[in-house]
Amino acid sequence: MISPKKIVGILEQNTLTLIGTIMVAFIIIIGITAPLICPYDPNIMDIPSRLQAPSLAHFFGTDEMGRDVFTRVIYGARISITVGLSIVVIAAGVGCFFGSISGYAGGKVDRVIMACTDMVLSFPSMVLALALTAAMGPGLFNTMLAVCIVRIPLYVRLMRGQVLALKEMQYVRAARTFGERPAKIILRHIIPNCLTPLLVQMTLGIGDAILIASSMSFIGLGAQPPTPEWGAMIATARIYAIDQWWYAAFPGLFILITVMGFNLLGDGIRDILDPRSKD
Amino acid sequence: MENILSIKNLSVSLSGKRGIVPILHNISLEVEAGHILGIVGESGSGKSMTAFAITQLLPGGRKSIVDGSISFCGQDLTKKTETEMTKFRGKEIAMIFQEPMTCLNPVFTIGRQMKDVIMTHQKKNAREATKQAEKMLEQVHIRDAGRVLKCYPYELSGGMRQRVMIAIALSCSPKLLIADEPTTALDVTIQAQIIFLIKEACKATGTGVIFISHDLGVVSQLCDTIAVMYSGQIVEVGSAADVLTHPHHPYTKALLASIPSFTTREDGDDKLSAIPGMVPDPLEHIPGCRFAPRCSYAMDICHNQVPPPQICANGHSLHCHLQREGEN
Amino acid sequence: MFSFRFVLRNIIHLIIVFLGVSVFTFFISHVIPGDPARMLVGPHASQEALETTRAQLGLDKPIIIQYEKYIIDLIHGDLGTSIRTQRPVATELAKCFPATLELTMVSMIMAVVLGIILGVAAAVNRNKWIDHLSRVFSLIGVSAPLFWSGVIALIVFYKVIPIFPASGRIDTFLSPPHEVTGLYIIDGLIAGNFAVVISALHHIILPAVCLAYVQLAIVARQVRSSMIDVLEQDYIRTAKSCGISRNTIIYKYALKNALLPTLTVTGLTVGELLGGAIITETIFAWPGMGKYVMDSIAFLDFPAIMGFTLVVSLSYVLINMAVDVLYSFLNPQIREVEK
Repeated sequence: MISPKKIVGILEQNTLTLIGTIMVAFIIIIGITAPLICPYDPNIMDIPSRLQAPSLAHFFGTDEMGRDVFTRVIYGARISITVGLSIVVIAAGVGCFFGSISGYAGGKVDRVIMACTDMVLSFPSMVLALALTAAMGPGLFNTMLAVCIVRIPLYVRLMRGQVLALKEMQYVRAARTFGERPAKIILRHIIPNCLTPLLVQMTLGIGDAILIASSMSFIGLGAQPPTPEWGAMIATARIYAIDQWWYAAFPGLFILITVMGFNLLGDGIRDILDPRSKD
Repeated sequence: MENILSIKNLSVSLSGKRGIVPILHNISLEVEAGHILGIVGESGSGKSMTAFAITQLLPGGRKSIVDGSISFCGQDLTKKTETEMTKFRGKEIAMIFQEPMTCLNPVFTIGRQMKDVIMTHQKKNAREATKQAEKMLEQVHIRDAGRVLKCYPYELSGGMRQRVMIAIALSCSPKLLIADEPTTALDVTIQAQIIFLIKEACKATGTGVIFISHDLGVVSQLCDTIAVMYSGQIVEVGSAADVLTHPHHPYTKALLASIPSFTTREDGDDKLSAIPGMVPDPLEHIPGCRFAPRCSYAMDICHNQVPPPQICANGHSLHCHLQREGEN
Repeated sequence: MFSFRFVLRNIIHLIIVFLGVSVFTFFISHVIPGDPARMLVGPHASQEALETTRAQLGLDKPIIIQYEKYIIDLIHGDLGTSIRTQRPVATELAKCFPATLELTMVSMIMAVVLGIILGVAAAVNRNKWIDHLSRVFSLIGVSAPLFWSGVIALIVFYKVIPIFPASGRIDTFLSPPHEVTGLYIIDGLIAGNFAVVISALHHIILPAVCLAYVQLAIVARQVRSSMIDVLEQDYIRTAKSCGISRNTIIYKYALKNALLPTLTVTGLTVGELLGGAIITETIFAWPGMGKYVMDSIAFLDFPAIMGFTLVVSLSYVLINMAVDVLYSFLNPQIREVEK
């Protein structure tokens, strides 16, 4: 494992990864400290102050209900990070489980699991998430579930590929001749060696999950008003966008920063831990 | 016979992650028309780099050539720009490489690739170029040349592909052919065929050949002259017969001694003899002869001064302090 | 090459995948919701209508029977009735289809062509300014939400620098060209009506660019990565040593090899474009299927949403199949394996 000192040294050399880490840390920190740093309550309406341009009193201006956009954007960070993390952790967990079984067992089990995976993958991700959420009923939780389902195949395939490759390695074959149980072999020998691509995929996946989830909210199927979710905010802001640009600009800017941060971080982890796959 | 290629005091350094790495130190070589020069040495001795330096295919391009001149038919290649070099490559100087499996573009047919090379250097239309390509394939003894022209590389065996490479290399009648370990990846029987082809081409057309290999056996069958390289330096150059039967340089001696023989040695000693130590890291700065740290005959002067080239009686060239001492 | 076996095998594969898609959509519309009948008639329908639909769906019958009815309706082109407009979903989608087709085609062409140009430029000029620029450009492309970039584009190019229109396919005072394909640009050209063509182009640029940006970024990245890989291959060194010119090496020898993996990515791109069209069409009031489904969502018009899902997914499957065929056509080694 790499010592903290070495990590700092690596970060110094890879500027982009450093920037990504800072961006992600920034968003997480503001999310955690939201109640401390926000001057207003995200939900309290103040109609007389509606649709005001950015000022010292309201850094990002106010929305159509007079709420402080800055406060709502910061609280939105909490929602987005939670959403992104949950989706990725659950999708990866379920996906890796089925992927390992599929890869290790082979035969009929493999074919069935692959058929299910391919079925999910024959739909464009946004469209499937849409249909699933509509069937389950609009809401942030259902959207998260839908996006989870849409993303599971990615991890199934990833894990299956890794298991297939590593299954034939000498140390795995040796373990099998010793009579070790499959579950133990997978946990002890195979998974530790898949960690890098898995970690990379998960990091990139958080950004991606935030994008789809906020798109769902924009469409109206995800977070419902008055939840200060970034996508939902832009959905309302769109109507006022031409004259009150700040309302739509800032939430989106934060989505950009968040997703960019995770993308840079994911790429960086890949470059550092697996330089063979670098350019 | 005149020299078609004359390399004088060539030094090459590559810049990479570890800084500037000197790869070749003061190389001097000559190739005559119709002559086959063999360059032998271990992996990492700089044999391939010498080949790339001649055609300016070094990583880092012309900037990697730090010193020296490469004179080809009177023209100094180190002074040529990239555009000027493209006129030499394929037409005047041709190369064949070690891995025939990956040397051909997988998405174009053989015919297409050969046609492109011919049409780049000669004023021929497509039909004439295809005809010449077919003729070249027949020259390298490929039966059914017409069918092979329509094949994709994956449809041919390694030996076939290497023949195709030779055909491509010779298609524009180059004055110099550089073969960089062309037989290393092939079976022994195919090796023999390839060596035969190269020899035939050389003698028939008067093409000069530089044959690079680490296999002394192959080199002994084919080459007229042999140059021995070690860690970026030339240590000995002479006629093949001379170098192989009467090696002067300690490294050459040790190299020849380390070839396992099928028969028991006269002195009954059956142990495999190896050269002690390891090839020095290219970054390591060694003021004197780079073989000195491993040489059993090393003297003080060997560690401090690079041995200058001596020309012996039979044209044999040597870089060794020992022999000078011996003469004195 | 396009032997009978090849065609037959692909058609069978297509049918199997279509069936798979329909099973899944059936599952979504009939199994997941608590009350499938209510989903189909809407919250405001009468109890009578609800009972009729329940009977029609045969909810008391085994799943297989329900699926049978579902698939038979599908084959007849019956996608149900829209709750919002009370008209057949299939007809409404057919009406909106050409607009979406035009938008996604223009976006696709933009994304692929510009993506390849950018990717090649970046790969050939590695680590120089154009490479860095293209990487930043790509990074923003894959990180910026489509709904945000659309709104920002509107603000900048409609309000701040008013050069593009905010909505519609052509100017309101012009009437659409005589319908041949449904694509205004093509129909306008066929009719020789250049005013319409120019207006159509003028209206499509902003939404197409926004939609294309994300995919352009992905294509550029892929092309760059593939080109770098290919340029390091032995056969490129061979070509160089044969004196082939730099341009020929890049654009003929290397590019063809690099485009093969890009082709696969392109297939996936279409799916993203179709999904993204929902957002872009809404922002730019583009009267296509995307806007249709967005309006349907506001109404919780479930039949319309599912109809849209089916049509888009089947198109996606078809396009990916075409990409696979094209890939095996271009890669001689795969053709050999297929035999």
